[in-house]
Formats: sequence, C-alpha cells, structure tokens
Amino acid sequence: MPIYQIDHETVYDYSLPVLYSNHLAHMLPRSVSRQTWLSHSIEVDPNPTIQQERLDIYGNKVLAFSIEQEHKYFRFKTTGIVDVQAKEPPKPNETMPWEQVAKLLERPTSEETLDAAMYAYASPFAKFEESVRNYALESFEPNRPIFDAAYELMTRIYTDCKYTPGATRIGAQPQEILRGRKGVCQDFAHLMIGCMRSLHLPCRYVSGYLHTHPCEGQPKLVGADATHAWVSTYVPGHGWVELDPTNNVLGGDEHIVLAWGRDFGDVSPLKGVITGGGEHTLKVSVNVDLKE
Amino acid sequence: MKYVETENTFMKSISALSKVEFEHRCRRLHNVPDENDLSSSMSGSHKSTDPIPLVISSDEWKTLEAGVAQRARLFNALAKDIYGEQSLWKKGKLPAALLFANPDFLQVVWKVQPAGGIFVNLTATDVVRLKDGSFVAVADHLQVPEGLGRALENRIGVSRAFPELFRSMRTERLAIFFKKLMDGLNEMHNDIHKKGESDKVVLLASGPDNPRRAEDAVIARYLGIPLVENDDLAVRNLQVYMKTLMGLKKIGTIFRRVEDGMCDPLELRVDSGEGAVGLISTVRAGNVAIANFLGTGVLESPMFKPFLPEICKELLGEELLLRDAETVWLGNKEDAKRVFAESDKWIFKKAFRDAESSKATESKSYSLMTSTAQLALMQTIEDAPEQWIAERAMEVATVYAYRDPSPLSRSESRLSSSEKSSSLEFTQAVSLMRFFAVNTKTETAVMPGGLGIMGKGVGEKDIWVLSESPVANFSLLAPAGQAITPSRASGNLPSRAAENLFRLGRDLSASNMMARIARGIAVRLSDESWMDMPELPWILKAGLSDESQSRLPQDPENALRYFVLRKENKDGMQCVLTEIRDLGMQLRDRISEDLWLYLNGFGIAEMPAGPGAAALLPYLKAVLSDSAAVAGLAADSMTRGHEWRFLELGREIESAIRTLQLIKSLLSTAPADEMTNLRLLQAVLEIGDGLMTYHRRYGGRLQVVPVIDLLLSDESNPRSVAYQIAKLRKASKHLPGNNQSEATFSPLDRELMRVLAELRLANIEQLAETVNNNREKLIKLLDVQISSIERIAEIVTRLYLSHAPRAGVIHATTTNMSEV
Repeated sequence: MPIYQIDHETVYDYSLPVLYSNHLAHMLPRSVSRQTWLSHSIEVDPNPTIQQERLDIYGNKVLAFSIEQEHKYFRFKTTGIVDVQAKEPPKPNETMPWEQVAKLLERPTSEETLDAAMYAYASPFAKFEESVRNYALESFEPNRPIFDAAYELMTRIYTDCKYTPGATRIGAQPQEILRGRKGVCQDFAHLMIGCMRSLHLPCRYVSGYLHTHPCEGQPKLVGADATHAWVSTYVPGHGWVELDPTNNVLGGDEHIVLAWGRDFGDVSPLKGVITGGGEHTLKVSVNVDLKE
Repeated sequence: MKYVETENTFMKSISALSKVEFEHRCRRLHNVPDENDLSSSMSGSHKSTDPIPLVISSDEWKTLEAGVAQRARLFNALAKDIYGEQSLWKKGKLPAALLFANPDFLQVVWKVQPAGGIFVNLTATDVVRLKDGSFVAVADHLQVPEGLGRALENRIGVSRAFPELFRSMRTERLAIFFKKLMDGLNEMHNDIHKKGESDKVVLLASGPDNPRRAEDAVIARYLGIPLVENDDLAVRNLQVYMKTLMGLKKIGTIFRRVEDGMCDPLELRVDSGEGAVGLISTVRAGNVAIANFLGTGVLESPMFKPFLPEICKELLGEELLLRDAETVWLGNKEDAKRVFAESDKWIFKKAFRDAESSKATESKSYSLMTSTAQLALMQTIEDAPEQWIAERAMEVATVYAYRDPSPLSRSESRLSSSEKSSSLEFTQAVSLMRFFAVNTKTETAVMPGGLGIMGKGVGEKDIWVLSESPVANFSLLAPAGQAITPSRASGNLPSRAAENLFRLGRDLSASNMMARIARGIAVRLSDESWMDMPELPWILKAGLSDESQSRLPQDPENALRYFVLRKENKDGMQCVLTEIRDLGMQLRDRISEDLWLYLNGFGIAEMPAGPGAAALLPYLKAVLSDSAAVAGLAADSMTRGHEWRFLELGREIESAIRTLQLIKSLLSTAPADEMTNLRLLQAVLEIGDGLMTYHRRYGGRLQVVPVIDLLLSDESNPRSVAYQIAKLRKASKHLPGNNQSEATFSPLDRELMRVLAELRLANIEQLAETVNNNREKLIKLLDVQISSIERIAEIVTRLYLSHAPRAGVIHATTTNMSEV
C-alpha cells in the first residue's frame, strides 16, 4: 500500500488586472475505500473574499470561492499525502450479464442502484450516437458478463486510438473521438463512457492523478505527472470497478482519485469566471512522489 | 351551467350588436393590443386578440380551478422530492430515466432549499376541452411560465370593447391574482432577511432580443418592481446587488424570467449570459430568494404525464383531478408495443427538451406523415425509445371566433347561414386555455381567467370566468390600509437604464439634426435649378457621411436616399432610428405608455413612396415631428429625476456637437464669391433652426458675425451651443456625487465651465476673420469645443454608466496541459 505526496499548483498570470473572479475547485480530497488521505492542505493566493465548501450530488467535496479585489495573478496550490491500495477486481466471467445490469437500473429500488443509474444516461460531454453504440456492441455481445465486456472494450479503445496530445479540443464528444481515433486521457474516458451509456450501463468519469515510474527501461505510463482521467463502472454484487483506457489497466495503487461525475464537466478540477484580466497565461505543475 | 350555454349567452348579446357597432368595438380592442403589441416590434409577426372571449361558467370553473391548483401543489411537491429525498425513485415508483436522462435535471441545486420551501411559485397549465365536454391538461409550464402579461393585455382590450357585457356577466377580475403573486414574492425575501432590511424584489428579464421581453416589461410595471438584466446585477460577498446610480443595492428576491441553464455561467451553461456569475452560490447560502426556483424546468418533461396519477397519490395522498391526455412513455417496452400496434392514433413527442436549444419539443402526428417519414420516425424512436413519448390524438372541441382563424386549424367549420343570428360572421376555432396559479406559503391561488391560444399566428383570446355573486372591485394600483408617504426621490435607477436614456437622448438629437440637414438637401434637390446652387456641395458634405458620398459622388439624389433610407448604411439615419426604437423597447418599464408609443413608431410613418428628392420631404417632416413629439412628451411626463436628467444630458451633448459640426462644415471657408457666402449663411441658419430669430432681430441682411453669434454663443437661443452647455451644467449639478460645495468643483463641472467660458469669451469678430478664404480661428475654436464636449460625454459615461467588462470563463485544468 504505497503512500504518495502530491503537489499540484495552478498559476494564472493576467495581462490586465482582474476586477473579481469566482472559482470552483474539485480538488478537495475524497476518501474512498481503497484510498485514505493522511494530510491535505490548500493555499489560495490572493486570499479569497468568500469561501464555501459543499458536497455535490456525486459526493465530491467542492470548494467555491471568490476573489473580490483586483489581482494580476491567481495561484491555487494543494499538497496532500495519501495512502492508496489496489482493489481486488471481480472475476470477469462471474459478473452479471450486461443486459441484466441495464434492466436493474431502469427502475432502481435502492440507494445504491439509484446512484448507479445517475451514470447510465447521456450527459453534456457524452451524448448518444449510433456509431458509438455499434462500436460498443462489438464487445457487448448478448449475455456477456458486464466486466468481461467492459475490459475488452477498454482494451479495444486503447488499441484503436492513438494517444495524441493536442489532437482534440476540451470536451470532444465520443463520436468525434471515435471518428478521429486519437486524443488524450479525457477523450479516451469520454469515449468509453459514451459506449457504455449508449447501452444504459453505468459509467463514471474519474478525475485524479497517476503515479508514473522513472524511465529505467520500463515504458513510461502516459499522463505522467499530470492530472489524469479514467472511468469506473458498476458491477452489481461487487461495486465500482475502475478502468483506465488510456493505459489499458485497471485502476490500481497508482491511480489516486480526486473526484468523479458523469463527465469532465462535472469535475473540472479548477474552473473560474473572471471579470477583466485581458490575456492570461496558465501554468500547471503536478508532482506525484512515492514516499514509501 | 355548461360551457355551450355560457357561450351562447355571450354570443346572443354580441349578435344583438350591429355589424358597424361590433367593428367599432373591435377597433377599440385592437387599439390596445396594437399599442401594446407585445410581439410586433420584436419579431415582425402580428398578434391578434380575438374579440370573443372564452367564457367559463362558475360551475365549470370550480372544477378547473381545483384541478389547476392541485397541479400547482403537485409539481411543487414533485420538485421538492426530485431535489431532495428522491423518495419516488428510491421506492422504485418511477424510471430512473425520468431524472437522469432529463437534461433539465439540475444537479447543482440538489439539496438546496428554496426560501419558504417553495420551488414552483408560478405555474401555467394548458388545458383543452374535448368534444365530450371534459377538460384535459396538455402541458405545464413550470420554470418561466409565459403569457401572464399577454393575458393581462388581452383582458384590458376585450373588457374595453365590451364593458357592459363584462360587468353584467359578472366576470372575475384578474388583479387580485397579481397581488397574491406579489405577496408571495415579498413573503419570500422576508423569510430570508428577517426584518429591518428594505430589500428589493426585482424581475430578471432575458436580453432585449428575447421575444418574451415585452411581456416581462408589462409584468414588471404591473407589479411595480424594477426590471433588471444581467448587466444590472453584481454578486459580492455572497449577496446579489443591483447596480444603480446611487451604488449597489441589495436584492432580496429575484422573479426570474430567464431559463434554468442561463442563470450562472460558473455552475450552469458556460455560455449562460443572462443571470449573474455566482448567483447559485448566493442562492445556496440562502441570501437571495429566486422564483421559480432553479431546476424547475425538469418538471416540464411530458414524460412525467403517465406517472402523474401515481405521483399525486404518493406525494399528496389525493386523486389527480385534472387528467392529462393519455400519454405513454416508449421507454417501457410493453407500453411501446401497444402504441405501435395502432400508430396512427398517436402523436409522437420527444420526452425531453434538446439540451442545446431551448426549443419546445416538436410533436409528430403519425397519421399526417408520409410513409417514408413514418419509417424514419420509427427508426429514430427505436434507437433511443426512452427519449420518446406518445400522446393519444384527441378530438378537441371548438369555440366561436370572430376572425378567420387561418388555414392552420382544419377542424374549423363555418356556421351555415341559417345559424347566423346576425350579419356578423363567426367561425369555429380550436383554442388552448392557459391557466395560471401561484403557490405561496399559505395558499395556492388560481387566476380566474387566462390566456386562450388559438395556435401559432392565429390569435389569442381572453378568458372570462363568471362569478355567482357580484364581483368586488380590486386594483393593484390602490393598496388599501397602507398610507404612502409622499416622496420626491426617483428611486434607484439602474446604471443600465441610465445609460439607455443617455443613448436615447443622443440619438434623438442626432436624428433631429440628420433630418434637418437631409431636408435642407432635399428641398434644394427638388428645385430644377439645383445644378446652379453654389451652396449645395457644402451642405452635402455637412450632411452625408463619407460613405454615402463616396458611393455616389456624381449623384447627390441617390446619395441622399442612401443616407436617409438605407438600413445597411451604418452612418445613415435609419441606424439611429432603429436604435431609438430598440431603446424604447428596452426602456419600456421606465417610460410612460404614450412616450413608448411614439418611440416604438419613431421614424416609420410616411415612408417615401416614389422616386425623387421631393418624395423624401414628407418623410423627413414626419421624423422631425416624431422628434418634437417625443421631446414634448418627455418634458411633460417625466419627473425631473435622474431618468430625465440622463435623457437631457444625452440630448444636449449630441445637439451641441452636431451644431458645432454644422457650423464647421458650412462656415469654415468663406468663398470669394459673395453670392455663395450669402447662400451658405442662409443654409446654416435654416438647418440650425435660427432663420426666424435672425430675421426678427436683424431683418433680411445676412452677415457672418451675427450668424455665428446666434448659433454659437447666444444663450437666449435654445438651438445655440452655449444654451445647450448652460443647460447641461444645470442638469449635471443634480447628478449623484456632483453637487459639491461651492468651494470645489468636480471634474465634470470644471470641464463644463471651461467650455462655457470659452464660448462666452469668444470674440466673434475675430472668429469671422479669414486667411486665404479660411476662418482659421473659428475652425480652431470649433475643434477645441467638439473635443471638449466629447470629453464631457466620456466623463459622464465613466462616472455613471460604464459597466465592468464582461466576465469570461476560464477552465484552468485540462489534463496534460502541464509541462513539468
């Protein structure tokens, strides 16, 4: 069970003073069964005028704040130490056939299934499209166990799409990614989400970090020391299983979870609306260090 | 009493009128909607109010009222469950798709409590009467119900046309409903702010281009609350404020007329520019009340319909009183099979609004489609059946209507001549009835009346609800039991409104001068000997923008027409006139009805018919008389508060600048030829509106010194520059923060004094001197004056009117943007 220290700093420099700004951060630590935060701190500079913390419908801690004095830069820094474990995945062939999962969520009868159903339909960044469903159906053959099919889908996305930074815009729709067959982790995740949701299967967008190894002959995992995104699907009787289509692996003890939602739009790590400011430059630096 | 009987009572009385009398009354009716036409100036379409109201007996009303009120309570309870416990779903009563496939389910307001626990303050329910006499609900409008203002306007019109019938039939009044709506809004912010704070209720309207805007102005004025737009709002310290000339004023309740998704670009749609950044945070903190509450759009999905009886039982413990048209959600396979077995009996609709557009869902009547279209529709539905519902086609009863309700409604049938009870002709038309209800903490009230909608482009109807007992008079205008202390304050003028008035003032002066110059040109060009008029080139240069001139240098007549008439000429007169009309629309809640009328029709009467410069003259005269009428009405009807002041500032600044420019164009050179000189002096006096005064003072002899004096520095001449500046200075003294002690002067005042002193001290003889036929000193003075006055306009804008630049969205973090 590795322990990581994560430093994540975002700095905006503005060419003109910003008169006031409002921000929303999805970067507060979220504890999940396989992950415990040992410490966490946030620095915001300049000091926020108003700061509110709340839980969103997905269970993430959201920090909303405003800076109501003139400022020419804005710095947001988080430092956290987290203990992460891998979770034993279910045995693929012992999971429920996917059609039954969809049926189960059609009319949920428990909190758990109602929560899962929230991730089973189209969302703003993952709209329904016929070609996406056809692509998904190649793996989701009739009566196939959900995890078995989902794993294969992940591998196909990994194989079919080329990791290409700058090839897509933020929030490209699944069918665009499928057409272009390239993108970054966000796109890989959105494509997988679009595929599973087209069958009304639950699939979450998970935002977080990935620990990568120094390159000693080993292939360096993509997304190195940056924020990362992958997906999670609900397997009845087992719970949520994380899959990382960018790297063709299951979410394990190198995937550190920040927040999840239906798609990127729900969990954008840091967004804001500024008044004034002219042009801006943005610098983001992320370090994920293995402590022990 | 059945509907048919009440309708007959009304029709009998109407038929007793002669055709002439009836048409006379219709004109009375249409005077009102035409004046107040809510759509024409926005969309160009013409709304027509049918003179025949829909009449509902008191018995029938009891049923309808109970049904509409119950739906209002039901939807409020449903919203509470959706954004709270979601108990209906946890118990497995409803499909998950109803919430999670619905793009109007607003995740960000989940678990946020509205003030007073009310989610749905105002509702509108559309009802039709079937041929068997029963009522059926066809749609509910629950986030920004439209039509309330139109219902009010139709009532004013129709009751004006048939006042004696309106009274003798004991028609229920609408005013009490608006009072209840207003009480509810007041109650909400009292709930938040306890007591002691005089917070405001405002109506948040969408932009001036929104077709709903005109109606919003009517509602705001009727309720007596300020109409604000996004630019009027500022969120500071978790409070919402209105930007006014007197600073920021806290807002207690927002009666929003803006769709859910458009209220806050931080948490909702990134392109949502109609609310305020951070609005949701303040709502969440409980610092502002908002009606209807955010997220109520989710309730409008027709997909709820098949489940409403069960929801009603579950949440209210009651049977649903007012039933919906039979509706089936196609996401349920068994139900879908039943529908497809008899497709031609159903109408297919999308279950949800398209997330991208706010367009209403389109409906497709299967039996009216071609077979190819039918196939395509079935394919689309099969792809995503949970996105579709089917509604059973219904046999809707018709009502009497006066005008031919267009080919749209084919079910209409003309009455046979034997049925005609007079020479008046009536037709039968299908009409929807929209009823409004308001939920307050203590009650649910239904408006006794409503809006009859006969279909797109066909027309609207007033709805009369008859009372069993005599109807009490009630008016919002005279709240009883509350003494009002007389006050001279002009209230809190929002900065945006002040800016609009300032721009309106400038445009009015600009249009006036443009029309005078154009008239000067047109008069000359209508003379056959215009080729011999030496002053013409100067006037053309003064009047026509460079673009108009350069387009047609050899053809002054066409250049003039291009300047006066062409909308695409951005320096032309039509652009200014269009802006005046637009500003009138935006200022509708702040100016008198008469003034608004003139602004709405500004410069559109007497459009020239034929070719030739002479044909322009009646039109230019009409523009000038519009301008005089507006000035007169404003002077008569506006109190001398800030509204008036900003209008005046704009008018005087523009008028001074335009007069200076006129003098410069016509008098900066002194042609050697005496004839030309005289004709130029004549022209400048004529266009500068000083000819009469000059002749009275100096007789017929034209000389340059008295002409310049009259137009530039004579403070007794209301058209002179000095007069404008003196007036400007007087008005500016009353601006907020500008009335400093005698000892110090504000920057604005200093600038004004300098300009005025310069004019007063100017030596006119010297100004008239020429060097190489040029009046150098005059040119210099005019240039300095023009730039000084432009600076004054800038100071006014900066001090009072400038809005902070628009907010923009930044997405800090996309993955892999970092280069470590």
